[in-house]
Amino acid sequence: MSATIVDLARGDFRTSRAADELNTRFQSLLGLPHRYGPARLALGRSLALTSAPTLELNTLGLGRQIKGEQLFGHGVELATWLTLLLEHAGATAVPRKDFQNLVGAHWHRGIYLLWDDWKSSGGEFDAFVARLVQQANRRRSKTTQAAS
Amino acid sequence: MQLRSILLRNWKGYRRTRLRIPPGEATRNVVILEGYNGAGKTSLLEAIQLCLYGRSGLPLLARAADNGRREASYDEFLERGLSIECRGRPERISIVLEFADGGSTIALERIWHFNASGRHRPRDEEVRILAGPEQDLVELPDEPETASFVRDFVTRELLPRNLAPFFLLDGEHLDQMAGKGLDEQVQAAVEAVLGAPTLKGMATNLRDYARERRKQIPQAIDGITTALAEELAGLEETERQTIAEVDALVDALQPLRSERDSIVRRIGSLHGDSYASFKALFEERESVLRSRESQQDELRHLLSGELALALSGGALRRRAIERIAAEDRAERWESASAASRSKFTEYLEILRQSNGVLSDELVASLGEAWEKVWSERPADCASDVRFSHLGETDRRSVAQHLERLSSVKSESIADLARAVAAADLRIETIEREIARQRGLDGESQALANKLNAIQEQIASAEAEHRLRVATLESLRARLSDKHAEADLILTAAADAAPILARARRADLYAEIADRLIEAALPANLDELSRTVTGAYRAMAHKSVVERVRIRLDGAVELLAGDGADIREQDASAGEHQIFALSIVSALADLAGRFPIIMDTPLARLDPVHRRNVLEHFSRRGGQLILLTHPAELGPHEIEILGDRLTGTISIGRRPEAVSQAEPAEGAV
Repeated sequence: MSATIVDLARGDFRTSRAADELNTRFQSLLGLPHRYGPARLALGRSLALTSAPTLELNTLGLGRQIKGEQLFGHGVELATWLTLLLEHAGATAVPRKDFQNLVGAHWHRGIYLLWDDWKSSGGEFDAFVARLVQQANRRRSKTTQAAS
Repeated sequence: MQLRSILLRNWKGYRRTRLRIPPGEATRNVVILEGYNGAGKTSLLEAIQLCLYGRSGLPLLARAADNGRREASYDEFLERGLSIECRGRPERISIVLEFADGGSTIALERIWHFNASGRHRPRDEEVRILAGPEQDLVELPDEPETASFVRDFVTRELLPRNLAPFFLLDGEHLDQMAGKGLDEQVQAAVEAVLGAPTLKGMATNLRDYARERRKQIPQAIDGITTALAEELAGLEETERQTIAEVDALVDALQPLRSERDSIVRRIGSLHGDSYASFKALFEERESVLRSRESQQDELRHLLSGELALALSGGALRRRAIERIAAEDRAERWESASAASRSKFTEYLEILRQSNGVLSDELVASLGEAWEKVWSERPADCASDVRFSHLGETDRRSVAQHLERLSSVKSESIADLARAVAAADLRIETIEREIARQRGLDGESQALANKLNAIQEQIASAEAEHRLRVATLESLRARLSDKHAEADLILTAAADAAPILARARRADLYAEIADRLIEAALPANLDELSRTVTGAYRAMAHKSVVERVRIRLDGAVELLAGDGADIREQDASAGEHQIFALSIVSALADLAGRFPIIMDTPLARLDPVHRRNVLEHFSRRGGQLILLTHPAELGPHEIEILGDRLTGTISIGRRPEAVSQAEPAEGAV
């Protein structure tokens, strides 16, 4: 059975523990009050690559969970995230469990890409934001890795 | 409008007294009610306030400041007001006010009954109104509508309750107003003149109404999934709790801010000239802190909202938009195709009626031809449904949202980040300067420590308040989505539509009331600035102030001829009193025709200010009633009033004179 919008809002999502720790670090670096801030940036960053992500779990296991309605917001924002994730997956029916794994994998891949972006920006907030905006306005997607 | 008489029975020291106010005109408009201490001047003002507003008039009374126990203290206040001679038998207090306005008159009587033990109960209160040239008795509706009818009548014909503090003044309230600082005075005045409290109350009532209406559709509620109904109830309960938390924080902040202001003033009084700069620094720090907070909020919102979604890239967004459009076309084609099949069935039936039985082969070829002509699937329709989570409306709004994401700009985000950093730097500089000024001596150091502690409490409460308000906004957005979702389901149950429409209209009107407050504010500020300037220049010592400007954020600037803000030089307590009186005068000019009644307003002013105030208020033209101690108005002041003085009435007794107040001739 495919995931509905209610599943997405009420479900719990998590990524690898290492990615979650990096998420916490970003939260502090960017002065964001909630965990979902860096997580959303990571999802968006990973969706810009055309290839499908894989969740790489090491011995540390999984990070803390976050509710779907926090991670994706609600209303049109929630519907937009679901639309982008499904379009990226190119699937018509994604079971709930698979969808949770997919989100965890995007989150994991995206947060590491953001970390590369941060380092390439010399740890400067302004440069980092400018880089992200440039990524956002890029018309063609990369296939596997972010431009650095 | 003029107050023409006041009739008092069994109210405090007034056993049975009618005060006749001499009629005046635009150039003879001042009446003095004169009495020594204890003669009953303040009791008279209280009688007017209670007669006009009943229970809701209690907060206006300086001597009934126990706000925490308002309900109980109203009855107790009245019991203490019953003349001592009346105790021990069932009695009543009656107050009648008679007003004349052009050719028409209004008499308002309020009666409070007491049992033999001198107790008054909430229901033991009556109101009578006589109006019109024939003094007809106005018919009042039965309980529980009476109180709201009387309130509306007083608001419409006499003076709205929210404007009362600016027309019925006593020295103590004037002190409180003056103690608030210029910005807060203006904020209170603007809220009062726009009727913001009334509008806010109306918006709350409308939202409650909408909520109640929605609850009244049990058969339709059945149509909503139980989970959605439970979620809505849970969210509404959380909303109520959060509102209570926000209100409690606002209540807790108010006394803290007053105490902080009072310490700032005390520090100022220790340092004379340095007070102004200290206060200015303090205010600047507050203002920079507030603006940094809002910039940070906006920045966080952009980063974790639009930018995060936009990062997915233009290519994916474009594909998603095209896919949405293709699925939309497919759905419309499916719907048209179903209609076409139904038409084909009708067509076959007509053929059968005219030609008899049709062979299966013929039906099949006709079907193929029909399909080709009327409902061939266009190539740009999606062949399957990927976005089953999107309905027709959602498809449109998600596509629009994705289009908007193309316009995320780095400059706005970077500008915001730079503004936050600049604010941090400025706060650091101001705090260094404040710390330098604080260290002037032991006493101010002690005060400064106290100030620090209070400031920390305020900062913590404000942070908590911001968090709660943000939570409330987010809750309301979710509630609004859930209501929309529920409404969609309910609308499908057509029987519920009229009730839902009323609920939706109530929500809409509540929204309009909210926006009205926001929109009306700037439109009224220019006029208020102009009128306050005229009054302030007429009454203040310092003619260096050319213009008072009230900014959109409610901050006040006192501008000199060269446009410089010299507010920090005008911070004396006397000037604050004059500013408060300027606000009173401006509101009287802008918002009312009711008489201004002042109880010992001049006692705290120096002789020059006193004469300026008398001259300004007497020349306004509307009726001005001054309740004064004989020492407040000397020969100079009486000379200033000149022909404008309509009459002087003595209240109470003094050794060498007898009250001119007459015994009552009869009640309304």
